[in-house]
Formats: sequence, structure tokens, C-alpha cells
Amino acid sequence: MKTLMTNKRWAAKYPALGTGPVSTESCISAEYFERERDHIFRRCWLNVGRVDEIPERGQYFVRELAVCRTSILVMRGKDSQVRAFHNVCSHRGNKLVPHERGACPGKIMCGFHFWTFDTEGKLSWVPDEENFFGLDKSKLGLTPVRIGIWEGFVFVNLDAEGTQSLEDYLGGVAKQLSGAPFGELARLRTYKVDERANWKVAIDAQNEVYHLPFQHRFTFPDAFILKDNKYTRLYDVNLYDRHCVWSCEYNPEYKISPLGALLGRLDATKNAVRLNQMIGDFDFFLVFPNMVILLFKAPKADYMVTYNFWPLAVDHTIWEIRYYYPPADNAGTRLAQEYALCRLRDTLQEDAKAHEAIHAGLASRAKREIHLQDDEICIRYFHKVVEDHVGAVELAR
Amino acid sequence: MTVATLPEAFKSLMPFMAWALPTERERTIKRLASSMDELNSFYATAMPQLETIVAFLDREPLEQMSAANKPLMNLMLSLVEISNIVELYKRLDKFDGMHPSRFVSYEQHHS
Ligand code: FES
Ligand SMILES: [Fe+2]
Repeated sequence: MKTLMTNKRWAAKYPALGTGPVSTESCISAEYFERERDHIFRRCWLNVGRVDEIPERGQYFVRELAVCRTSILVMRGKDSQVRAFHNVCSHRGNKLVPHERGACPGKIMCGFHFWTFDTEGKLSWVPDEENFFGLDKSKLGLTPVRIGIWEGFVFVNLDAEGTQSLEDYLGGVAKQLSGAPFGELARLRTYKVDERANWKVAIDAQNEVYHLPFQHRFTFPDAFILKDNKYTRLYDVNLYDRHCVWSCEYNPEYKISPLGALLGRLDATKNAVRLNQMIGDFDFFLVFPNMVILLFKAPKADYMVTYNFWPLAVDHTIWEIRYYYPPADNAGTRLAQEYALCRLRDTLQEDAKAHEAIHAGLASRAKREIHLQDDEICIRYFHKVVEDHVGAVELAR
Repeated sequence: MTVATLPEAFKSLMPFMAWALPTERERTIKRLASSMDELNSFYATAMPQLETIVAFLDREPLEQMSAANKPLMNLMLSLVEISNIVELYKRLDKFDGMHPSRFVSYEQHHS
């Protein structure tokens, strides 16, 4: 075992963070949520997809960014370059692309009066143009949005004045995961969960493993190393500039189920993708503000799950979950992947129920603060980073 | 719709053909509509044959699995779908999570 069991290690590693209770008001205040919109979601880089969703020229996807009150069109141009635009027509502001994804043969047309744009966002055709007054088509392209691509993940930034590059923004995360072969993994499944909970409440509930032996006593009690065989302990914690990662070590005494054991044996993949950039056996990277990259080591091939938490309102969030595995090359592998997926899925359903229960509890204002133990340090850090962006919350009465 | 048939060697699974479902969403709905006895008997019949079935299916590349073999594969995916209940919870009322219908699932690779 590599994991050290000494108490209160992380406060010693990061003493500036403090150890006191954390206010819950920022999770339930509608006024604070409006400030988060402006100071976090309209300023930070946001993951909106992966480039492998649009491998061909002319392919595009649309991402509704309700929290930023806009819809974003991400499109691969005829020149192969991937660009992002506000999904808004230059004529009278109609939504240009009303569906989620597609491919255009070289032009994209607004449904209202058929103003037509090329795959680079330039306005190329206006019906009955002669009847307009001094229209300069060259100035009426789609409004671009800053875009960055890191290891296949597409990010956008709605701060038109911002200058920080995505790579610089990602900082320690980009360094740690540089060169990770995410492109060799294929999306096997996506879940979208509509939850009545604040986005930070949902992230916090995922952002620790203290709860595993308790909340997940039937689904995942003993996956990671346990102190005195009772309490999950972290192997490592790294706080980067605004992002963080915690890591776990697998429990060698983990009680595998009969089907899990059999499929482990039948998994005959030759497609052994290895994520050598990992820190532990399981890493949880929280990419500020609302993305999580979970990396799993597994005997035959490593895999990834991502979360994106999209706030709709102070008490309403869409939790997106995506599973990525090396493409299965035999039936045993395919079934082993489905097994890992279902096992985790049930755990996440337990989590999701808790997100709503916790939010309701906090919204009652019966408690005004939460108390964090040392292994919950990334929750403490996350709330500090939120506060660094938004400012301190004022206590409502 | 005609009920798909299974290779002679796996005929004992014929009573469970309603489980030969291609998407997780369908498998979950079927699981939620089943009694513990139904889950146990499907598991008891399918689990001992899993290894033979995988060897049988792997005679052809997974990507080009013939239509005739897909029901068998989908049955095994359903075995996986029910295994948490049969192996871990052992009762229908033990799992205490959000209702699975609220986990809207998408199979496609592009979402
Ligand atoms: S609003 Fe798009 S063509 Fe008129
Ligand atoms: Fe959990």
C-alpha cells in the first residue's frame, strides 16, 4: 500500500486553505447565482464537447449554454478548422441552427429568411439583397466565440475581451494530462440527468470519497483503500491554479462480484489503452468551473468518464455523464465494459438522489454552514475558487 | 415481430428471449418491470453459460457480428444489467437511488 494513513495530511500540505466550516449560502442564493453567471460562466473556459464529434468538414454541433444565456455553434470549416460562433443569425437574430448536430454541404441557412453563411461563418448570400440599404456582407458574419482545443476536448470562452489561452487556463491539469491518449477512447454512453439541485451541491457530492462506505454501502463500499478497513482515504491531492485533482489507490481486498470476476477473465482486449499520466489508480480532476475528468486504471485497459454540470437556475442543474472506453474488440470486453458502466451508473443514481436531498436541506437554511474533514479538502478548495471569482456571499436573513 | 431463435446449444435461454434488447434503456425498463424471482431465474440460467456464449460469439469479429448472433449478445448485456440486483442488493427494494428513468441514456457515439 502506497497510501499514507496519517490524519490531516492535506491541511498540512495546503495550510493556507484553512480548516473552518464553509458557508452554504452561495448554493441557495439566487442573487449569488446571477453573479456566478457573470463572473464564472461568462469568464471561464467551458468544455462543450470533443472534436471527434465533428471529424468531417462541415459537421457541427450546437450547445445550449443556458447559464450564459446563449446557444453556441461549433463547426468544422471546409478548411478543417474548428470554430465556435453564437448560434444567432445576423439578419434579425433568429436561432441559426435549431437542432443539436448535423453536417452542412458547405453552407448553413437561417430558416427565417434564408440568409446563408459558409462553414467559416461568413455571410455568403442574402435573398433579395438589392432591396437592403448599404448592406456590407463582409461585416455580417456570425459572431465568433473564442475556442480552444486541448487533448481533443473543445472549450469555449464567452469573454470576448479575455486573453488567457486555454492551455494557460488549464495550467497544472494540462501539464499533468499532457499527451493522454483520450482520442483512442470511444464514447460508449451518455446520460443527462435533470436535477433539482444547485450545481455546486452536485459537484461537492461527487468531490470526495468519504461517503463511499456509507452512501454506497451496497454498490461501491470497498473499491479504494480503507483506513482500518473502514474509512476511504485519499492517496494524493493536488491543488492547481483553480483546478484540483484527488487520487485513490484500489483496495486489494475489494470483494468482486461473481460476474465481475468472470468478465475480468473473459475481457480479451488487444486494445490496451494506457493512461500513464494518471497519479493514482483512480483520479478525479475537477476542471473549474463545471467539468470533471475521472480516470480509471483497469487490468486490461484504462478508461475515462466525464461529467459536465450545467446550471439552469440556482436550484436546477443538468448533470451530463459520458463513458469512454477503448473500442471493444471482442464480446468479453464489450460485456466487461457494460459491467463497469452499470456498476458505476447505480452508484451515480445514489449520488443524484442525494444531490436533491442535500439541496433541499441547505435550502431550508436550517444549517448555514457545512463541516469538512481533511479528505474533503477539494470541496473546500472549490468553494474558495468560486469565492475568488464571485466574491464572498452575504448571509440572507 | 417474430421471436429470434437461438443456436441449439443455448436453447435453454429461449424462455428469456424478452431480454434480448439492444439498448440500455430497454434493458433497464425490463429490469424495473421484473420480479426478484424472474431476475434470479434469468441469472441462474444465463450465468453458467456466459463463458461458452462469449467463446461462441467471438468466432466472428465483434464489429461484424451477424444479425443471428445479436440476440444472444443482447441477452448477455441484460445479464449484466440485472447483475447488480442479483449479486449485490439481492432484493428489489435495497437500491436507494434516483429513479433510473431520470438517467436519460443515449447509446450513440455522438452525444
Ligand atoms: S433572421 Fe435569419 S434570415 Fe432573417
Ligand atoms: Fe458517490
